Amino acid sequence: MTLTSSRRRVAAAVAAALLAGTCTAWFTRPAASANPADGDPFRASTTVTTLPPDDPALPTPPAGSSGAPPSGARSASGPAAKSGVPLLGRALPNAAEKSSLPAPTSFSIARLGITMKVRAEGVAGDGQMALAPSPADIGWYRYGSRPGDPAGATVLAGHLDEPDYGIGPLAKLVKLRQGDIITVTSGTKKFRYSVTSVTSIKKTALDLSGLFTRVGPPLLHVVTCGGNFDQETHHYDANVVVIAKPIR
Amino acid sequence: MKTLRIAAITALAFSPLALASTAQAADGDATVSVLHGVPGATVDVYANGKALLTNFKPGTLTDPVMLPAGDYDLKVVAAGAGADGKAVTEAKGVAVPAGANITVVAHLTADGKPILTPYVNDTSMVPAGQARLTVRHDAAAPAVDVRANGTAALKGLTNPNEAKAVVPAGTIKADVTLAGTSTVVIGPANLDLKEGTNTIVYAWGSAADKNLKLAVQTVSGMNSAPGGVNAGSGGQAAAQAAASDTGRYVAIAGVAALAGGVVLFGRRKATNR
Repeated sequence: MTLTSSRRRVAAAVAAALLAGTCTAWFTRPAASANPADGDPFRASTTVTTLPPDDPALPTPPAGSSGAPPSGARSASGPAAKSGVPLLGRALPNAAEKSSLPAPTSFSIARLGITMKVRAEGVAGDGQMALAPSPADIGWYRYGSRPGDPAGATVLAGHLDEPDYGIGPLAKLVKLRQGDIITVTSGTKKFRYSVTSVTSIKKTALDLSGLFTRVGPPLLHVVTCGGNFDQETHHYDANVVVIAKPIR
Repeated sequence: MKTLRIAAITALAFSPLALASTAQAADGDATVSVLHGVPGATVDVYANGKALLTNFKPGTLTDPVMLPAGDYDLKVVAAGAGADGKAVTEAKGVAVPAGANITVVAHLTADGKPILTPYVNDTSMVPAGQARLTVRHDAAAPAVDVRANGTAALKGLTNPNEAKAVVPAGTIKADVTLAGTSTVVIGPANLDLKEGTNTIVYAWGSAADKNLKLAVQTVSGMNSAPGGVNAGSGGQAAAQAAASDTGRYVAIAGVAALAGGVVLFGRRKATNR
């Protein structure tokens, strides 16, 4: 008698406690998980359309504004002197001059404790940007601008994760705040950038010509994946894009 | 049609320039370069009676300039001969369409006579990672093949025609052979085909005089962006995000159980008392 009633009371107590505990925890949950540092302020500090507003509609820099390297012609003809400076018309800036700056070699964000080796990458077989195989390394789009170039975006991109490696350092990119410092080293030269925005953009909505622009102000674009992971295609549906401007 | 499209694209591309400089009808301008491919003659070039180039030496390619679109009478004379001097070669009414990127080449015909040939440079976009290679036969020589890394890439090219292809960017070893033979007449030369450019190679000179040479022009700005950045294939980051949710629930349940245990313990104590 005492035993059964005691059991009943115990059961009731446990059930009540669980319910109360769960409810309490549940109610505390939104406050804990809606940690503003992970989302809204970034979005607020971000141009929602993302990418520099002065990106041109066309990824075309002055087509042909470029350069006939006279040196090539000269070398073909021997020491050919200064002939060949047109007297009529308006001379065009020689945009095709190859950057003499060194390629980036190292990428670091001190506040997040990230240091990564930079590997020069081109275009993969599927037409997307090629990436370093390991999430431990970050790829630099070698056809685009270099740190220190007067125009265009230096694009660095790396894997968020990979089946064998696990989660890479770039998973921390979403924790960047406006004004955080990113350092890119090219050989012995250090280039410092200040973060202006961090945005997660659906891949279907990403402005690729803006992301990879070779004209406009010099900027650093750091890219990884984000959003939802499709278990069948093994792809994420969004890119996290960090835009940072050089600190002079 | 094609010219029109090129014109439209270039006009758009140039619009920032137009704004930056005098807003004066830059839409109606064309980009013009001149290549001197006649061996042995230093010349002056006149456009509509005005000096365009002076003391212009063989093998020299000018930097591009913007000229108002229109028809030009071009005249090449011996250096210092003046606008009315005897023409080495001339071309009347050369069409320079608005927005076009043109290279005018003074060169020898297949049988060795000086001539002016205007070429429209293809500035249409190439896929990311690719480059356009254009080869122009401007030499006093028979039909040739152009080999890239030892393989005939462009075959049977004759003066003053051009052939072009879009190829992966990078350095190739190119040489020129008599068509259908392995007799090398020019090269080999290393060509750096930069991504997003049109690298234009001119074969000029004279086979009979054994002075065949290559001149190279690079027109840039045809680059396009890669198709995307596919930067995650493991799914662990997503899984971790999901796991941290699960972890939260487990923690909640644990805390609740603990709370229940405390209540139970307290009640038992009370009952026993």
